[in-house]
Amino acid sequence: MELAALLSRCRQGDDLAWEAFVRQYQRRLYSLATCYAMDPDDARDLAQDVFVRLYQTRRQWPDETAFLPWMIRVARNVCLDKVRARKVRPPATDVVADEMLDLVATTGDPDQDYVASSRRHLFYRALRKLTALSREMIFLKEIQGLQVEEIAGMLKIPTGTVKSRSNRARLELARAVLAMQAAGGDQPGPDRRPVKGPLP
Amino acid sequence: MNRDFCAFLDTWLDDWLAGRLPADVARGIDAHVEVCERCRRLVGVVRNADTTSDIEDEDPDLIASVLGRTTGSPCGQAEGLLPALVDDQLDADTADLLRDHLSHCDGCARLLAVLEESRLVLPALAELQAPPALVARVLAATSRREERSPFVEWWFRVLARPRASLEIAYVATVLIVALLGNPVSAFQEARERAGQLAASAPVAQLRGQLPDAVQAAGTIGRALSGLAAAANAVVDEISARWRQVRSLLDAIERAVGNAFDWLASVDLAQTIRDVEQALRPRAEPAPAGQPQRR
Repeated sequence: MELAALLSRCRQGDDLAWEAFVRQYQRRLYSLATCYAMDPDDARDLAQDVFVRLYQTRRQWPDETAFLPWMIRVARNVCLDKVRARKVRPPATDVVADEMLDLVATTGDPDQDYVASSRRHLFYRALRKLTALSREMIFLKEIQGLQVEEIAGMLKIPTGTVKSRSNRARLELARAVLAMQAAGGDQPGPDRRPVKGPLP
Repeated sequence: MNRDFCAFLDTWLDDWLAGRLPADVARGIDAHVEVCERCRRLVGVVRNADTTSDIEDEDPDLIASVLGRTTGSPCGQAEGLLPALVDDQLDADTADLLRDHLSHCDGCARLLAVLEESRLVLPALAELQAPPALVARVLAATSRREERSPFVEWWFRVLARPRASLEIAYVATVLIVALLGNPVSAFQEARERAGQLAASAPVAQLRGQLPDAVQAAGTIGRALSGLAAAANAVVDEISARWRQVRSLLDAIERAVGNAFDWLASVDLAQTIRDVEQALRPRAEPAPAGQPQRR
């Protein structure tokens, strides 16, 4: 079903459409929640709260062209409210990142998947080592693919500031990846290479 | 190598090459260039500035030395431009200069490689495998929930704000002051009334009995502190018991939650049909050789 029809049916209170919506966007919102969460359980709770807020405001959903940035803005606000209410800060621990990271995208080739997965794990662990500001900028611009203007509107800062922060964050991430490579952090550890099938 | 003279040459190199220096100074520089490998190369580089492509053997130490004495390492500027290079947002000249730097600087080249790889890797992190129970939890928290009125929804959102308690306390204080007046105004005449009270006869009598009263108060205070210590012990005991009860209640809550989750995952209609099928009396087979009774 096309997004416009799905959104329209969700606005009208169609439970089946809502379930399809949740299934379609659970991975994306869970990924966004991990940016603010302490551990997988926290990320799941945050993602659930985001969906509940989306459900409560479903009659105010914008059109499909503006929906994704709007949804991410709502998700970010919910996550920040919850995190502030719990008085916790996003941690930067490898163990939690590894527990949290279970990637979806695969090429179908186990060997290629293994290499790609190792690199994605390395980048994800490096991402958890960034400052909260840089990590959020990477999540919004590079991972979720929002435009500079959309991020500027969301964060209420000038577009030039978004660009400079984004560039700084990308450099910070690249330096963290190089540092982890130098420290042997790019090694996948125990051989978890799957013989066939999707990634672990 | 005379470092001071090398620095002197760096400063006056152009004038020396143009013949604008006094003869004795020029002779000194000539003598230094004869014996200083570094300055001889520098002079060669400057003299062939318009044919730099002919220079094949670069001396990294020389370049580092020159940069160290002039602009410093250009890596800081180069790193700042790398994201724009990856995004193809640099003008042609700046991009050429940056690529030239990258061809000589391993550190910046490695950084560029990671930046280019990040353009491929990061979008793949947009979707992570969500926990299996997430969809069921979301649906349980939304679809089956009764609709609340807009005012109730607004009130719950207000309560969910991180600083809701502070804001509510502020509003309540403003309301109290607005409705009841300044509570401090009750004490505006307190000093005058205190003076009248101090001059009264009963207070004078009390002053005479003050030492005995202080002693008695001390005795009472000690007794009260003993009582407080005993009460503290009782409260500690009650707190410990309450924690035990609370952990028990949490365990029960988790068990009930798991039970509800299990119930939500079970196809009740199919289960009921299975139970009915199991409870339905079966027709006993007729004994062999006897016709079945109808």
